[in-house]
Amino acid sequence: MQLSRRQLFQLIAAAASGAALLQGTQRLAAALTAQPNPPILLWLNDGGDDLSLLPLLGQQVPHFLELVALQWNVQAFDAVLPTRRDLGTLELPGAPIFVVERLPPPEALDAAAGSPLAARLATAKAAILLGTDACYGGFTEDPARVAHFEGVCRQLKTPLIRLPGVPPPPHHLVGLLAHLEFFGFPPLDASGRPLLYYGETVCITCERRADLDAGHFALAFGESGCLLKLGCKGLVTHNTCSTARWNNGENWCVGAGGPCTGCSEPGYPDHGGIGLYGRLTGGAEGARPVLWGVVEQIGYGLAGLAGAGLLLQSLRRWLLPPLRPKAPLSERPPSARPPSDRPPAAPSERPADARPPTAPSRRGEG
Amino acid sequence: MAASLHLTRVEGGLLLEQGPDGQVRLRGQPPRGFEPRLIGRGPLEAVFLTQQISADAGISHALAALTAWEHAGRIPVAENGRQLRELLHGLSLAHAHLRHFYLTALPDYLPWSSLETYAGPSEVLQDLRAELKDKPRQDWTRAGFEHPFSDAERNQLWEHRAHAVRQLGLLQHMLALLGGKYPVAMSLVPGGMNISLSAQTLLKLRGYLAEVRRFLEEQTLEDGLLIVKRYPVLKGLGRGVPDLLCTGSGEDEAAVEGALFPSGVLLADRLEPFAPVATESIRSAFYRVAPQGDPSGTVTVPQPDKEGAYSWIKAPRYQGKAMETGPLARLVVTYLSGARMSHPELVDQLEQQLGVSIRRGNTVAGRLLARLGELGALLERAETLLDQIDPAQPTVLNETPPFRVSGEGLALLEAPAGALQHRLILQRGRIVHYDIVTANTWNGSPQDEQKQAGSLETALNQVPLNLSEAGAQRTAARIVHSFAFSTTDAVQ
Repeated sequence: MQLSRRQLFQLIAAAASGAALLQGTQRLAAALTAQPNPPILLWLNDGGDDLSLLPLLGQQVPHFLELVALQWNVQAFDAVLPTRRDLGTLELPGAPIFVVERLPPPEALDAAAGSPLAARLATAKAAILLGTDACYGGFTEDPARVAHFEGVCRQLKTPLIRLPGVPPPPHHLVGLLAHLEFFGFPPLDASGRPLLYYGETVCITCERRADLDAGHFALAFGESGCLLKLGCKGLVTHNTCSTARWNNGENWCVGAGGPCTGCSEPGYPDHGGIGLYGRLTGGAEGARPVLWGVVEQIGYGLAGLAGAGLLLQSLRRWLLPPLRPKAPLSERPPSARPPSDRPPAAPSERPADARPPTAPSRRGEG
Repeated sequence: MAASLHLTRVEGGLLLEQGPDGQVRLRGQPPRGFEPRLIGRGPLEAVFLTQQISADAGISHALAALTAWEHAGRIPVAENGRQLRELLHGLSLAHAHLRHFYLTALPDYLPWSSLETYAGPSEVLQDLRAELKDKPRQDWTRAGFEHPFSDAERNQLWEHRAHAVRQLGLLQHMLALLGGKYPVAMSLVPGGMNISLSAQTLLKLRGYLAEVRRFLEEQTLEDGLLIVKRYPVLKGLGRGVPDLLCTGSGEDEAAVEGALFPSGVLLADRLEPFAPVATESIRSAFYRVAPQGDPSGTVTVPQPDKEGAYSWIKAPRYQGKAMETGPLARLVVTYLSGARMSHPELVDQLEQQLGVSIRRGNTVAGRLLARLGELGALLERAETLLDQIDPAQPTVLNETPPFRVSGEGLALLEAPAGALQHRLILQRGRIVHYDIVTANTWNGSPQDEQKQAGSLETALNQVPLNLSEAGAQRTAARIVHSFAFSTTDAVQ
């Protein structure tokens, strides 16, 4: 099965919209393996958990292990391989892509001390940080270690891409690998995440969005309504959870009544001091202003835009002539009656009366 | 004879070290520090954050954190919520067992290279076989070892493995319906479960469950028995410590009636009631007692250069004894306590296979079979729970806002790998002390003051192994995987 570039990109983007997710991820995974030289993956997760492995094993990438074992050219991946591969002696047929779930300790990255990991990293096409803890520190990683890893990558000129989430959505990884293979480096946002998957907040397409707009809030667990007042971070969380959902589209946090914890944001889990559940678990004083601030800012912004629009409109009416002359219909030739003849008439007339000199004449007429 | 082995297919990775004396020891990995990181946070954050400790035991950790909080605040739980929690927990155990057997343990017995000669009807596997032939393969798929299975048995195991992956997906669908997503569930809240229950949800759950059960009841235990039949050495391999521990479901008296696992300990071959009196030794672990006072007594901090230490895992002890915990301990305690069992014939079947009494069954074969046998019981219980849940009743009680409670809470329950304990102290809704003792800490513990090692280390040293040999490395992997060991769970 040969996919065109257009089809490939549609599949990569489908993971963000949630359209035909299972098939899309499967076909992308298959397209990756059909390459004569599939990407070489080195997967580092020493001392980390298997959280991001489980959804990959499930429905979204069926036979993930077989893909990894036989076709994906994975050279080091402790969670899967029968025995451990030594990065120092491994012979690779090309430039690898690193997938890092748990950051190596700083001393293992010391190129001056002859670190095999640093040598491999220097030849890598890209390093993908998988999971919020690897991306930003999250709950269990030291942010200084993240900064150090980032510094080493910058020094070695290895580009970094972050795929945060607790766990990261599996279709993001497959989609990103396909993007790297077929379209090169994806555009990233300010936090280093692919814009394709982290471009919009989950609130925009949330099934409880109408409740937010209507001001219908859940005030206790188990109630219907927007979960904002229970500490939901959906307004500020960039991810595809509300469109693609989880476990092959079965459900997601808000679908099970759980407020979004903002697990794919750099501020997770403290979120600037308001905590995972905002005003719920302490930090009650801090939570409301910050989240409400966001809503209020949006509200003020909308009101401001509307006001500015009205002002501009009234100014234009005062200062400028109308876009079309308000000649009495009887003076026009019958063939020029709208709507049939409006498009050809407009271009010829507009430049003429848009010019300021015509303005006085109109006033004179009035 | 000094050697070391880095085992794969263990969550977090596991470094085994063999000293000049030939003793194999578990080094583990430095902890990520969940206990100190939880200090100062709210208890609901602990419910979410402790799920990052381990993928398989995540739901168990969340439930333990939640139950400990409810214990501290005496928060009542909706009946529906209790049943939904048990359903969610049971399914997460089934997911862990299924993944463990087919994806973690099976490659120790059936090498990847055996797929090359697969000749069964499965199209997926035929494609893979063709792939294996046509493409330049990697060293590790080419390298195999002699396996004792006949062609038909090899085909069957590969097909069942392919089936199992699909069942994992279905179990994830069920777990996502109940928890929002899997792993890391979002619906566990004080007073019950957060989900709005509809007849449609229950119908979906029933549909998935029926399909998973059909596969499991026909095939899974059969595959386990086949492995033990073809590898008879497993019946005596990897014998751990003789004392077994099962903390049960940890619920109150009323709930124990229908609980799947009653609590109890097998101590010196006698069944005794379980009491939460475990102590922890750090003699051989890279920790020291923190100098400053703490509301609960002792807190430890890492000390990587500690003299005489060799492990990152602490050593919990029950009345001074190292205990083994896990599905086998659950089976033995349930059987000896005379509780109702969904498959009473399982014990006879196991005793017949192993050739010894089930209470001496703590070998690689006994652990594998007990785990697979438990799958059937878990799914049968899931079906009973689905019948009992009434979608018209509330799933969560919201009588009192429980966020400002003070007090001490304890939760005991059975995670996939065995007994799990969470203990917390809250002061006005803030965690001031958190203490986690996991199943893998029990099983993987190093030597204590009496030079008594945990069950996994005892099992690894039962017969001398030379870790620099490939055969011994496979044996070590079989022993470690029979415990469903997870390093991140053991050190947190």
